[in-house]
Amino acid sequence: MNFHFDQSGPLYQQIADQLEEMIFTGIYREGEQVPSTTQLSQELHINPATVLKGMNQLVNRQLLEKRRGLGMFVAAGAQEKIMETRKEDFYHDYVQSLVAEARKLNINEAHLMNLIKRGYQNGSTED
Amino acid sequence: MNKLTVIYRQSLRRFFVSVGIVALTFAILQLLSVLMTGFTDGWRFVRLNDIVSGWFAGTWSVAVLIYGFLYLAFSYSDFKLGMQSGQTRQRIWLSEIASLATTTLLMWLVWELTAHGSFSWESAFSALLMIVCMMTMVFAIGSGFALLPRKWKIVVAIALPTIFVFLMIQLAQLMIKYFQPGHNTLVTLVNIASWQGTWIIFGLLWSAVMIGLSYVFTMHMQLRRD
Amino acid sequence: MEALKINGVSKRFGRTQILDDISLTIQPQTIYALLGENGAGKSTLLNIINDRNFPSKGEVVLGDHEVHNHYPSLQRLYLMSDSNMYGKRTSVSGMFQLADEGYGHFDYELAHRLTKAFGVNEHARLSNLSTGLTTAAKITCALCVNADFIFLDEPMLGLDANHRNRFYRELMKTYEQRPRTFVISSHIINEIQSLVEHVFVLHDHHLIADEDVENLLNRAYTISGPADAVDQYTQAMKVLDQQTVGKIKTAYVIEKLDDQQPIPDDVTVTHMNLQQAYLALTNGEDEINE
Repeated sequence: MNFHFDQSGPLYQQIADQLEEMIFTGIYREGEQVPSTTQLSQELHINPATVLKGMNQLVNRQLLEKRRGLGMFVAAGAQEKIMETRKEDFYHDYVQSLVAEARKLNINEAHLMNLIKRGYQNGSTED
Repeated sequence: MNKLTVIYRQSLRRFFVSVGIVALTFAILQLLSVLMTGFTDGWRFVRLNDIVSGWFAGTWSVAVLIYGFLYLAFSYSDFKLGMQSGQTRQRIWLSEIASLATTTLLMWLVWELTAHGSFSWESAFSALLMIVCMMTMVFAIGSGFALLPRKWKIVVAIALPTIFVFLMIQLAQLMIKYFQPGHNTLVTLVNIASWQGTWIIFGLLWSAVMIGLSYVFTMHMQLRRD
Repeated sequence: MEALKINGVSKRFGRTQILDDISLTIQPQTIYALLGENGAGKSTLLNIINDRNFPSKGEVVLGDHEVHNHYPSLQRLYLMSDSNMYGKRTSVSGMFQLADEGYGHFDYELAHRLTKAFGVNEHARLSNLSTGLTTAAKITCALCVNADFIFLDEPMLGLDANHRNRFYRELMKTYEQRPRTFVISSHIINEIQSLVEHVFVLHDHHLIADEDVENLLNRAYTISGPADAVDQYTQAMKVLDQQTVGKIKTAYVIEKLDDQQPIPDDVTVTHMNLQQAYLALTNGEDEINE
């Protein structure tokens, strides 16, 4: 468990984001229990209300589920759901800013495509 | 558990500690004087009865003084302790009064049990009244002192006795000036003063005023910044 | 459960004004930070709330009752203060006993565990302990006492980083197990930022902030970039504080940013942490007064 907080936004949002990331990368697998509010609050010195608010975001998005008396568990299909959302966000989070930056650098469409291809090739050799 | 005990217990402990210290000191002094008498005048003058009663009397009178002195010094500490323990000023005052009553009774009992000579209810009552007067006064002064910052304490400690002495002198001068020997007013005054009822009424009034003052003072106590 | 209300409290000591017309509400089961520079009146406010000092004006009310001289109310408030409330001979365990006698149901089990963890000898006299260990003993007492509103005046005074961390953890733990109100007055703002939900800022004897930390930080921004770009962007804003290093200027504002106003490319906008927000608030207040 490795949480890191900065000033990018509300604390509860950062908790939600980082838990989501942990589920996405498979640190917590589907059906597995995530740390309780109590644990997170004590370990990270964060007000339990804030931790709960962050966790409830994931509950509302059906990534986490409460099991009465047991705690919070990663919901079935959570990873898949995160993948879908992130794909939807991919266009405006990455592609739009990629194109904007490319324009600033006078990189045209064909050139950008080439660069992306190169990225894929390098990526595959590195793996 | 009665939460009044916080301060009550504290001041009772203080009382017993101070009485203990005084008793020990007197025991040592008494022993020394016995040895002195024994060596200089011979041992046949040493009588156990005298030693014990002397020890009791000495311990008692000094203990009252010491205990009074402790009240002067500890009213404010008791107040702080009470506030830290979630008590109101009334409850702090009540527990002080309770401990005062307990120790007064104790001192009186010791006095009566060790007093030599014949026992009479009359003298026992006046002794009790005297202790009550002294203790309530000491408590009133102590709680009054607790209101004052350090600097003012010194000022008042000097001013109060000065005023007292000044008033006494004035009174004496008045007596000399207006009341010639054999004069009727003086005779009446002496008569009134020698009637025990006067002293009882005076003592009761005095104690009531002192208890009232201590209440007013305690209700005005605050955490000081010094 | 009822809230604790401070209504228009002012305090003067002689000619010096310490508090000027302070009104605030302390909710049950909430953790608060009380911030302010030395001499801003934090301790005096805490003393007045706990009936140790009388206000010159105003009142403190818990539910339907004024706290002043009201035993059931005072039994629900506990103030751990910097000033020495105990006798010279009081030991650590004596302090626990007093809290038990005064408030009842003292959590001795937790107290023993905490003194052990902090390395405090329970038989030692308070007056013989170092500043750090005295603080550790006092916060132990405050965490174990049976009261609904716990006021902690400088609870990290002299504590090293390890002990502070333990304190934060234990505070969170006991708060979760038995939610009650804590009001923490401290200068170590960064470390308590995530512990508290709500913040009060006293400055120059006035209450200048009374807000949820999340709300405050949501509209507290650091705006930095080339000086003229920053100036232009912040033209219509109330800049509370600013720094210029070479050509780069950083401006601090606490207000909702206008979504319609585009942020220039060379200007970066980030959120502040609580310490920066506190500094901006107090500095902004000073500039108004100048």
